[in-house]
Amino acid sequence: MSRFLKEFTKGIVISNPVFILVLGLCPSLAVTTSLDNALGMSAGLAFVLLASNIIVSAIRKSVPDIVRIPTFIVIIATLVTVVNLAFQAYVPALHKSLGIYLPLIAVNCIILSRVEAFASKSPLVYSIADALGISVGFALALLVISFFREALGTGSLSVFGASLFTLPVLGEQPIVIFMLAPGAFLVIGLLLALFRRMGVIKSE
Amino acid sequence: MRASLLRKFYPIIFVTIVVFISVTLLTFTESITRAKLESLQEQQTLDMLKEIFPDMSFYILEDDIYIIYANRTEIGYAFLAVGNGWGGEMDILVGLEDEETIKGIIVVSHNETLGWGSEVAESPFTDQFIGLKIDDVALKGRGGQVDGITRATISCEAVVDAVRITALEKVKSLR
Repeated sequence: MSRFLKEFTKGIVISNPVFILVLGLCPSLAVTTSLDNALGMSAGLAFVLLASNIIVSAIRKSVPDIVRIPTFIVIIATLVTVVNLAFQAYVPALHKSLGIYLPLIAVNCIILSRVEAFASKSPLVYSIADALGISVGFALALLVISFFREALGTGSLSVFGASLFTLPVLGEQPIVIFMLAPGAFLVIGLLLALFRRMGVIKSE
Repeated sequence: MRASLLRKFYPIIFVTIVVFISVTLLTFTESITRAKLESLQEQQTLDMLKEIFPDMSFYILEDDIYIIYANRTEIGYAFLAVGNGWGGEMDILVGLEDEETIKGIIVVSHNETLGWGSEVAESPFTDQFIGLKIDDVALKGRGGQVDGITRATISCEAVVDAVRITALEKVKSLR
């Protein structure tokens, strides 16, 4: 049980996929323009990662080594297509605003690397823990980034239509650059620097 | 003999089985969501047509042209025009009051630059098309009545050309 917790919490801080492993930066940059998008993307990734980890861990002893990677990719791509169809049918607005980044989860380094480096070599229970931990870590990272980008870039925050707050000065004249690519890099870079200064990230 | 042959082919058999299961799962998922997707599409079309024709009670789709009815009377037509914008294809829903006049347009989808070309999808640019004669659908510099947007000429021309050319084409097929 304690190993389960250990694998779980590893994904949140020590091995945070965005700030520590620095994997899957492309969708992280593109999708953090609003809290809604961040949540939607995290949900999509969580489903795919959890399902992939479970399936790969379950069949890990039967997969021939030569066809390991193609098998994993087929599994991941199938799950991503299922998520894409589901989002398209049941949350079309979110699907439209995520654009191509939802299907791109299929080539997101986070998934393939966790599946290959961990799930294919570990028992089912710990693979589940790892998937859950990484998903939570990813979600938190995305939420933090989009918090700053949305607040500074549009002057207000809202979650699924419910407005949270509007900033006094920025509400009228938001700093639009934060909604564009350079702003994303700025926010992620500054957050990385902040975490390093705080000691959350250790120097190597 | 059989055992070693099986071992050689096992990886291929394995991948084939995996792909087979994956395809089955996908077909199943797709068939579940297809009905929902079609109804969403229909609802979206209805909403957009209602925006252009507030008096509409129903429409009939005939050969790619929507014929709009208010109770029993035909009040206009609508069709989809495809333009070539700065960032790729743009889908524009064009409403016609009669065979010469535009009721309004909605840019359904586009890939224009945010803050620049994307303004062709919003008021006041799209408002210019309301009540415009098809022959006047051109930028002012080219003999028409549409004011372009200064730093977005290509996007404007894409919309204008798509609307005019497709409108002329559809009107011809209506006759």
